[in-house]
Amino acid sequence: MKFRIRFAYQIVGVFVIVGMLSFIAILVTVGANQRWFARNYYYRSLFSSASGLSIGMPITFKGFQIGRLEKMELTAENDVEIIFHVQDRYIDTVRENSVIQLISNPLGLGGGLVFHQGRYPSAPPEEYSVIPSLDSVEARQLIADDLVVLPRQEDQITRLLDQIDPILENVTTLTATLDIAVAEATQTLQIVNATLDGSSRDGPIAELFIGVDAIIEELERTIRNTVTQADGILVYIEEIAKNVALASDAIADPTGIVPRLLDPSGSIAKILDDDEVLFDRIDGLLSDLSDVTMELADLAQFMNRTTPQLTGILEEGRRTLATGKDVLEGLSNNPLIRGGISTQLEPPATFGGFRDPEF
Amino acid sequence: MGFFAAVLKETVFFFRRKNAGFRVLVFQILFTGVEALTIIATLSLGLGAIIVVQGLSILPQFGQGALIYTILIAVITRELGPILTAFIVAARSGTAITTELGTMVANHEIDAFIATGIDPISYLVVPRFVGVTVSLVVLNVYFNVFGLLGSFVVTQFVRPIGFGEYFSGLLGVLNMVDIFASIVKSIAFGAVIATVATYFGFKVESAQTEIPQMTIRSVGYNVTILMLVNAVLTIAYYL
Repeated sequence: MKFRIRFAYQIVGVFVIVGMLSFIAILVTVGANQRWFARNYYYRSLFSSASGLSIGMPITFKGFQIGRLEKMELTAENDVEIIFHVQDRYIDTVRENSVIQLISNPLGLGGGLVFHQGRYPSAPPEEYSVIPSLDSVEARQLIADDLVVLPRQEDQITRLLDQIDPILENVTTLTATLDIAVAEATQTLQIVNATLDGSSRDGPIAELFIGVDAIIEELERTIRNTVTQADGILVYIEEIAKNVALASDAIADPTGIVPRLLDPSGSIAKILDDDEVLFDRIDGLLSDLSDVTMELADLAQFMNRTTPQLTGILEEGRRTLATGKDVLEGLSNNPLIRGGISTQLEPPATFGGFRDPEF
Repeated sequence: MGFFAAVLKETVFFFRRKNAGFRVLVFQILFTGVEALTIIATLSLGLGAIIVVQGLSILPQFGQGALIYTILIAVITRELGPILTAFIVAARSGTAITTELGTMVANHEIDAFIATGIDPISYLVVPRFVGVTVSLVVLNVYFNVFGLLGSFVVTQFVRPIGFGEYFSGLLGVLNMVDIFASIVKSIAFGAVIATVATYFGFKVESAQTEIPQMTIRSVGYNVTILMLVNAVLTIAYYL
């Protein structure tokens, strides 16, 4: 009997049991990997369109899948409401002011929902509360208030689009500004036209034109006065020109004072052309005068140096003379002699002398 | 449809009875499942290898190399695994069952069963029906195991990655619906193959020359019905 017929039951048993065990192993592994028995937290979000959204789409945070899109439906307000779950191990990632963004790959591949965390730590929001989508007004306000942590975009195309968006906004703003400017310019031109054709005399432009008219009239008066004064000035200029002409004639006269001054045989030339005798004399006089001046300076310095001593000598002499006078008066007033010495007040000296008299 | 209903009815009673049909069931699994394991394993290994080689040469050009796991699961587990296994079983065992039963009909063995009070559906069809269905389910599991393991082996030659990384990525995209769809398809395909093969076996009336004709018709019907059932189940998967 063939082996497989003989052990048919065993072979079939092994075949089925191994197959079933493999199946159970796959189920357990998949269940453990996909957290079938783990708790999920559900949240809602609103999008303007379901384009790019699909059931089962992963929700990522910093590249990690933290949940999946579970359900989506069109609301009565024509918004697309999605319900997604966040795994319990990532529930702390969900904070107040968090937003969710739909990333679309231009090639139609990849993409997904990206979760952006609120900036400040907080408890997770209640289940089924709304996490606003990035294109919603609420999310834009949160971003404007800097309440959302938005990472830098690494996708080249997204980065380019992000750079283009502000440019487009600037262009839009510029266009709006230009529209306003053109409207204002048109209005201004209408006012100018109305003012020029005289149909309107109101407004700042009309006032400006009135002012310009007054200025022009004043300018005309000024020009007339200037012309009148210029006529008088021209008379003076004519006289000056005549005088200049007379001076030119005098210079041109061969018997005039200038040619005589410049005549090489004249007295001035003779005085100057004397082999520097006159210059030497003047130079000698100046040297003598310099010597005298230096001697006077030395004398003055000597006088300055000896003045205190002379003053002291003169003071001593004055005191001596005063004492002699007192002696003579005492002698004349001495009863024994002539009647004694009379009392005399001595004025205080302005100079104390080189030595203290009491020393 | 009446034949199929009778088979289903007898199948319910089959598990309540401890009769000789169990031995037929074991041998049916032996011939249908165990003996087909080699070709199933070879086919799944080759298929996984082809998907990995083609996928890893094309997908990284778009920066979507991780999609190889999704393609492996979609092709091996959800689509080609059940249908290829079914084709192989229909070609091997379906024809064998039709030929065997046709021969028994031509040799009046079925008349003998009926004459002795043995229900041919209960004794001949139900063990084959259950055996083919069980074999197809188990073979489908082996097809997945070998296909995914084979793709891992080939990946080591193309772009070596760790075992954990590979199966983590694979199990990340494999979900319960895929597994459920694969098992449902296997059960449905097994039921179709066994029912069609036994039906056309019994369609032989008396001549031996009818046997190959019925075998050919059995294969043709099997392929057609399998494709229709596969289409219906695939559409149901996406609903």
